[in-house]
Amino acid sequence: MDDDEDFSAYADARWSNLVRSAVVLGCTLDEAHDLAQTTLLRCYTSWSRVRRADDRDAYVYRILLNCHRDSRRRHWWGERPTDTLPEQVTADPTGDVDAADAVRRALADLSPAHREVVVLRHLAQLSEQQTATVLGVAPGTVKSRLARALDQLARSPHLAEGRQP
Amino acid sequence: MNDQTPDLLDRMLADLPVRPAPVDGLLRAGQRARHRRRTVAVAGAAAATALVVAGMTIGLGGPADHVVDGPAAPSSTRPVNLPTNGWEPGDISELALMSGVLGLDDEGCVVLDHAGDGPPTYATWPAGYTAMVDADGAVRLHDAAGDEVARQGQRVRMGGGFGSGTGDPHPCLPSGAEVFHVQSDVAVSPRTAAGGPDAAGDDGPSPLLDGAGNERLPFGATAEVVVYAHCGLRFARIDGALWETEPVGNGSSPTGGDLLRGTASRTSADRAVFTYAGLDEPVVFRPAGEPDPDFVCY
Repeated sequence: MDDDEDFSAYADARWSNLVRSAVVLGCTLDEAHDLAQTTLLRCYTSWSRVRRADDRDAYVYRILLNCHRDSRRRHWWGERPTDTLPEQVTADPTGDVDAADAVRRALADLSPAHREVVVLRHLAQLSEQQTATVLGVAPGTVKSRLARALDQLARSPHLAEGRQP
Repeated sequence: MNDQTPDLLDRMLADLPVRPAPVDGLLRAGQRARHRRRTVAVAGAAAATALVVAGMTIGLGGPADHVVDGPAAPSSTRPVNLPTNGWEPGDISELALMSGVLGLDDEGCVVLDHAGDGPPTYATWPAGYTAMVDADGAVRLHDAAGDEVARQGQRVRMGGGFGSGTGDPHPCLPSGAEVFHVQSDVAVSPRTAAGGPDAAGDDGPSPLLDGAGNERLPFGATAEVVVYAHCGLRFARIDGALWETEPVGNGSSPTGGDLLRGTASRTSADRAVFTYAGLDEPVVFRPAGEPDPDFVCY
């Protein structure tokens, strides 16, 4: 399998999770798609390094977190003005916005550090040790942050909206 | 804590309408990015070669030395054959930090001098960078926009990584030796070549700050240092050298900020203890060996 095929297979498999992870980090749905693309593009330009990484997912999610922090710091999401507006008929996106907004409201009380732990442990499914390595903290810190994050989520009235009756 | 919480979160996330993966678009964009890098590097080498050939043919420069007299250059200035590496702002960068005094070697090549502390460092510079020797014989470095970023005698600071040369031999790079590939903007340090502080107050936006401990931290001393921790606490430049945490750290900034301004105490020749208000415990640094070429900080 050559690099492009390997990258394509990886991007296809991880795309949805990267977008959802970006939403958990606090992005809108559109921003989340942008962030996932930026992350994968950076991976592509140094795919040989990504391939050689001991833990590919940990490496890629570290790029995701760093891209997210960079973008927030710069207050710029990459949009550029255009002379021609890309107007076209689209389906009513209200439902999409509702779904993303519900997640955002449920996660609103989590700190950035807690969101990152949720992303790495729950969505990327990294181990405590892998998460600790990516974040540069002790495994115990990962454990306590995740516990606090889940505890906060459990008490979120917005998450309760999704609970079974 | 509620055991249902992860499931509830999963269910909410599953409802998110994720668009299909734009794999083809990513491949095209990625290939364009790679091609642009190669093109810039090749164009830089071709332009340098053309200038050398022009200088030899017209006979203005005499032998093919490294300060090239191009026919289009103003009579009072001379372009310098500056090796470039194709890096552009926004591209991936390596983590190593470098500072030195901008100068020219005996053959007219741009170097970073270290004030008698070791041999000069040769570097490849970001895409579009050029250098010129002015009428006074001082080299001036210009960025891709043509703006002057530094001149001879000024201490400059930058990020990037060490590695082999550009692949093809370059007359201004030592054959077979490691060079520093500059992968950041170049900032002029407020500290002058002579080492004394000048009138500039802040270091500006560059993360490469020269605190007193970063520049000089003898055994037994304690001083303020600034550690760049964008990719976690791992490397720091202390006492003018590269140090590494013990145990080796890696990852993301433990505080969410890139720059940790704390204090370091040099407890022995090979041990410095870094303390920072945002960290629960002091961090021990040891002198780093050769920079890991695979360590990349995005």
